[in-house]
Amino acid sequence: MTHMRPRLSVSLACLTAVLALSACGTPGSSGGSVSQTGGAASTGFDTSKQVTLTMWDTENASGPSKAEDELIQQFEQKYPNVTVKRVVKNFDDYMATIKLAASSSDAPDVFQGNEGAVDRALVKAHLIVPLDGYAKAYGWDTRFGSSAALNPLRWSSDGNQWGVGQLWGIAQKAEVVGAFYNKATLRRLGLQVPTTFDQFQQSLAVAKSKGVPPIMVGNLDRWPMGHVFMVLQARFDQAASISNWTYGHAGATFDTAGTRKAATVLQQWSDKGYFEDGFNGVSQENAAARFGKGEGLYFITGPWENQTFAGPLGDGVGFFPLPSLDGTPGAPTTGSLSLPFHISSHSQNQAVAAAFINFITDGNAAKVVIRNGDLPAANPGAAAVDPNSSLAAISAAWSEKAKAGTLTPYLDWATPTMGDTLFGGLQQLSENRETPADFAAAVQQDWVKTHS
Amino acid sequence: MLPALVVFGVFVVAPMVDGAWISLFAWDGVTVGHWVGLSNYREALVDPLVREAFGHSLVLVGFYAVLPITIGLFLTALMTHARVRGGAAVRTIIFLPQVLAAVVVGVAWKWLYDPSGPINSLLGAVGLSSLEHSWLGDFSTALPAVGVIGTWVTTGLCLVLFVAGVQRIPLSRYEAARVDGAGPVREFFAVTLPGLRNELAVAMSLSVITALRAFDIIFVTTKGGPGNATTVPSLLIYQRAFITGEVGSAAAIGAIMGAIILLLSVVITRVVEERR
Repeated sequence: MTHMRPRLSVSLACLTAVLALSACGTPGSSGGSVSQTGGAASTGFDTSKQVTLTMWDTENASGPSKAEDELIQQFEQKYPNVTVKRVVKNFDDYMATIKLAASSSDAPDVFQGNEGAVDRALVKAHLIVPLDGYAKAYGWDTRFGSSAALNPLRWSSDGNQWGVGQLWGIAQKAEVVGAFYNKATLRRLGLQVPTTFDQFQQSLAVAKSKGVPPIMVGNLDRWPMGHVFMVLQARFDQAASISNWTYGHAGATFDTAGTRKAATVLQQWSDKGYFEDGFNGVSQENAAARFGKGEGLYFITGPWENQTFAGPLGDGVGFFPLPSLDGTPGAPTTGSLSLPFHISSHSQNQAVAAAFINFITDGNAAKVVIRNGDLPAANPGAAAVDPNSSLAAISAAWSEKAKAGTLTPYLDWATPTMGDTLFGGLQQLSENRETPADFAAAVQQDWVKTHS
Repeated sequence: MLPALVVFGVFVVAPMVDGAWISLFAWDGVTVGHWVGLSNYREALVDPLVREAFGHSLVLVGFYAVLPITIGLFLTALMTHARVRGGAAVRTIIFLPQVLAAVVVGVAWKWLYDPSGPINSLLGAVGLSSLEHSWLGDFSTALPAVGVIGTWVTTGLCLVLFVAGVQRIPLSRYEAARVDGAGPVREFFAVTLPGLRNELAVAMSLSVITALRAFDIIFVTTKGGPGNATTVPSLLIYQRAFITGEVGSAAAIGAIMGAIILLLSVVITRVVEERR
């Protein structure tokens, strides 16, 4: 027993030291000093001083990543005193770590956030700076079709109100969700590109009857069916109601007749076998790859999958936004500026950072982005893009909706837990384990927890 | 001894204490948190999703621990009885999944389970197309399908432990059993099983812990879906800590999970392990 004592006392000493080390302060209270100037209204910066900008982004797909590198190279050539250090991660890893990285004292100067919970947290914690001064100086208000297109990047300075207030970021790329279609298959089925919603549904029935999977979707990843639902909801509900709800405006509700109708249609499509077999067990990557190999008629998703399809199919794949009920053009659809670039409040070189995010989002950058197969937020002008390509169709759809201000936001932005609630709910709905009414009520319940 | 204690303290004890401390706050991971006492624990214990997740863990214990140990014991009995030709090779092959990164395992099985993947093709080829399934997409098969992956991974570990243990059992005991006229079944229960108590305790502790903290394979294959059919506590911890900004709640679930694992390990060691 005698040998127990010293060992015990050493352990206790260690434990005490450890407790002291872990410094039980209030979590989150040790942030570094931040500057909250709001940005001077100037486009210049000291071009004689050697500066290294650190940039974090999640443009890890090959095309977009190449575009990023190309733009960085151009910027460094234009300003030889600036070196840009780029850190790139895949989306899931990126979103799981960016808030922590942004709150450290050596935070990246420029980094991508995400509309919704991530941006809200960044604004609330004063980790990024408002950009209104730079926006005026560089003319960002008019760069993206309409000023309304920037609404998802506006927040009140306390982060409590969304869609209004100061501007906190700008985006390089844009997203508009619609139907990719296999041109050869459409022809083979004796069909035309549908111009009304009824025609679209008829084309689904025709494809099904001829043994072609009407809609390819890999919902093992949970979110893909979310986009199918969102474009349906944009058909049956009021665009303003969808925006108000997503931005968390008081009194908004998800539980509307339009939402229930959209959910009912989605459930009917599932019952009729309009989605590929076993879609809840197929990964989106796999489904997209098989669509690229010519399987199926439609794939409802956004421009991020364009390369997966256009790579193998070339001009054989087309794109259209889901047609409206009565065929009038310009109807609302799901879409937005893509992940925004922010400037860190910890950055010592905010003016350089502003010049940089201006450079990677302007008309010249738009050309680089579209050449690398993705949809730019700014207008690429008469860029070298094949008019028969899906990308040209996507770009036209984005320009039209952005100018008209008829883009509806992504629903999973509404609350931090909405992704799980909404996408899990759609898996239940599509397997007939939940009624459209129960689905709408459950989603609204999640919203109320955050916004009341 | 002291350096080891320091390392242990800094990298194990300190984060644990820190985690327990954070579990007493409502904290989004970025802004300043505020003290809420034990309410994160109260909420976790009544949250139906958390309860469901722990229920799934219990099912996974069946697949990650009970099945592999049963299979491992069975194979061990076979191998001790009949000198299997190439036994070492068989053991190595069964052990291989242990060496693979869980992400690789997850991706490979995701492909196997795909509705147009090899498992369904095989079923179709032998005329069992009625059994073809969207394995990971169906609410009733998703959890067992994920569980089978766990069985596949942990069986090798159990087998290797047991085979090593059997070699420690004196041959004289087997000879005595045979002289007494014991058949293979009697021999297994009278000699092999009692002789493997320590290995059994190790295998049970390791596999039960693996089951309770299962994350990687589920994250790679189903992300907790369809619906919440494969959601487990560690997935909730990840989501709440890194995605939805409920770090306090995540820490509370982590503490509960840690307590359960500790309790089970103590019980298993006490009950199963041989006393000296």
